[in-house]
Amino acid sequence: MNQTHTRKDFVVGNPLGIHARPASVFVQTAADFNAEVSVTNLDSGQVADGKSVMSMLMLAAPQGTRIRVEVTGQDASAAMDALSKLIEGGFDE
Amino acid sequence: MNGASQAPIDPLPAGTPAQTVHPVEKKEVLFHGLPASPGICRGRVLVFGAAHTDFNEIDQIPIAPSEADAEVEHFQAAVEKTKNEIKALQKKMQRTIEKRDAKIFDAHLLLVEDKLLHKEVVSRIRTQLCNAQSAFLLTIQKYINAISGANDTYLNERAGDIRDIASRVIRNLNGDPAAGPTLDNLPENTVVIAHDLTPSDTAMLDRRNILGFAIETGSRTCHTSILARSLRIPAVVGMRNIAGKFANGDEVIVDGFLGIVIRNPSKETLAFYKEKISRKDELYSLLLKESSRAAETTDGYRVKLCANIEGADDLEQVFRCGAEGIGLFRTEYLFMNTPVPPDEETQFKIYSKLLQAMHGRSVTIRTVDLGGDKLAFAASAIREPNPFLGLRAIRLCHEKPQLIRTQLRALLRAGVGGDLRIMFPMVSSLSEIEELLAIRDEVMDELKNENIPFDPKVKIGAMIEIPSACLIADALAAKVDFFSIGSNDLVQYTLAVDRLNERVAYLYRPSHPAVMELIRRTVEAAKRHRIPVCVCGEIAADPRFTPILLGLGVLELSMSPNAIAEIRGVVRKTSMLESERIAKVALTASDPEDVMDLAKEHIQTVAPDIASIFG
Repeated sequence: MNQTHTRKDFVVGNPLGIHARPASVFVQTAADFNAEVSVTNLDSGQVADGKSVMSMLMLAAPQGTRIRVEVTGQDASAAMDALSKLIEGGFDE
Repeated sequence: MNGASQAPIDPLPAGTPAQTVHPVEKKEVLFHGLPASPGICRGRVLVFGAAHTDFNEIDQIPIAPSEADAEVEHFQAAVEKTKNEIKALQKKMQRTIEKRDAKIFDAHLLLVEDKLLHKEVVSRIRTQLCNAQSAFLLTIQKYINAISGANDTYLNERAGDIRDIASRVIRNLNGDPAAGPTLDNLPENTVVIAHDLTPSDTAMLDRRNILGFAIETGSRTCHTSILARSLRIPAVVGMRNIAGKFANGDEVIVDGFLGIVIRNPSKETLAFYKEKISRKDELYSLLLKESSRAAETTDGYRVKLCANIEGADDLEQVFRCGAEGIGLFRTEYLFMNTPVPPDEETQFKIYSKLLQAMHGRSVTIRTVDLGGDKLAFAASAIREPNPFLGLRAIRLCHEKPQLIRTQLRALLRAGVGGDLRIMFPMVSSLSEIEELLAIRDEVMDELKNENIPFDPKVKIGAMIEIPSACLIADALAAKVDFFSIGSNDLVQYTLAVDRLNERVAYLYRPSHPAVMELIRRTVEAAKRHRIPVCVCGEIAADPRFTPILLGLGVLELSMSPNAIAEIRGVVRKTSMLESERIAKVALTASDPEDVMDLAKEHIQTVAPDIASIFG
């Protein structure tokens, strides 16, 4: 099994931060992959399961928050590509 | 008064609104509140908003270990049911709202099926051996608390989404009727009973099937009451602790004249109301016959009676009652319940259509008065500790300059099609008017440069609703073309009484001599500068105030169209001489109630028929 682990840091760019809608888009995207996804709020230390909306909302990440996305699993790099695109694109907002 | 359109008092078909059997005996019970919108109706109760109040009333019930599996299944079934409800709602909403916004339901769906949430609820059921309701509530409460605790108003907003789905799940766990009737889709002959109806709830009401409502909050002049009057449905507000005393399907009479609600009315009560309604219908049709006659006092003073309207749908009634123009067109509704403010073209079309429909009669359009008790599309961005003293109305011209500019452009363009007047709300100082006039000039230059036709002569007016504006009325009158006194806010700001707060609503006295004095000063300043002054607040629609206002020199009144017929009736039977005498008393009275008694006496003398319908 070709386990890979990758991580990348971002700053939340969309004006409204990670609220219900961006969180759900993120979770939906993450759910397309087998890899485990975790997201850390680097400002508060809170860690979230990237496949749980509730958990993502608990991150409390308004615009400007620094977050770290960590992905572990066979399709980790593809998952990271998709998630990066999403975050950098401001969650399609 | 709106007897003409009242619902029949004949037997109700059994079983309208979601019938629920409840143990309360079928005895007649009378509840008192404040009369908010005149009229009488009889219908079946729909208790609105109960799902949200359930929250704190869930008991933790211990279960046996052997029952845990069944309880988990019960929870899973409720989640499944909730998911289906959300999907159905999503499908329905996709047609009416932007696709992007319909996505919020995706978020709701994901929240309901969230694996973290599930794990925790199931483990609570199994380890703490409690019922699914309390396991779910404890879990969700933890999330809500964590999220609302975030020290950021925006993040707080997100807790609302979770509350929303939580109440759905709990409703399904309790086995309560599925989503049930919503305010915009009511069963026939419904009387809504609720703790509160926000202005946007009221705006959403299914107009075909709502007969009336009674709520625990509010006062006669709160926005919800005003809207009820414009919808011409009887309403009673400020009723303490009634929501728990009614069940869906209860038969009820709402008397919006007396401010009472009667549950399970007796035969005698029904007969009494049947009589009352037919008398009112008769009087109303008599008054309507006079709608083409001038509103002129017995000694020859002409009074201009105009209509306040919320949207262009009310026009038929405006013509029927013989309004001489639109004295107040509120534009907030264009900005409510919408994620983005309407663009210039959209607004231009709405205003033009209105002007065209009015065939040259004057139309006064108020620029958007967001804030205060009116919900705003921007409400999520601007949450204030004290919205009535905060950023609202023209004060938004710094923070959101585009809002007022776009509206002014649309208005100036629409002005070509008729007699348009633009009114600015919440003016508190001279510099504000100067700034707005400068913006108006800039906007006109833009339009000129873009070769877009507009009317440069559109009249500009100041709404006088803050005491400071009354006290500098002379300076303001020199700058504007007309005044319009917004008495509701003027009373509230003068007396420092929140009219939405039922605990102090009794202090809200429009006949307070201080208010009378401010109106007098405003009228005097307007006279000195030869500009017209209109009163467009609630008191304009109250026949008891007609002689008082005439006596103070107000010769233009604007009110909800259904009040025009009776105000015309009062004007035609009143003399200016008598009015001036009453106004003099109003200016010096030690008790505002004395003035009301005097005014009531006057109406009883000159127009006993109209007085009688005021109960």
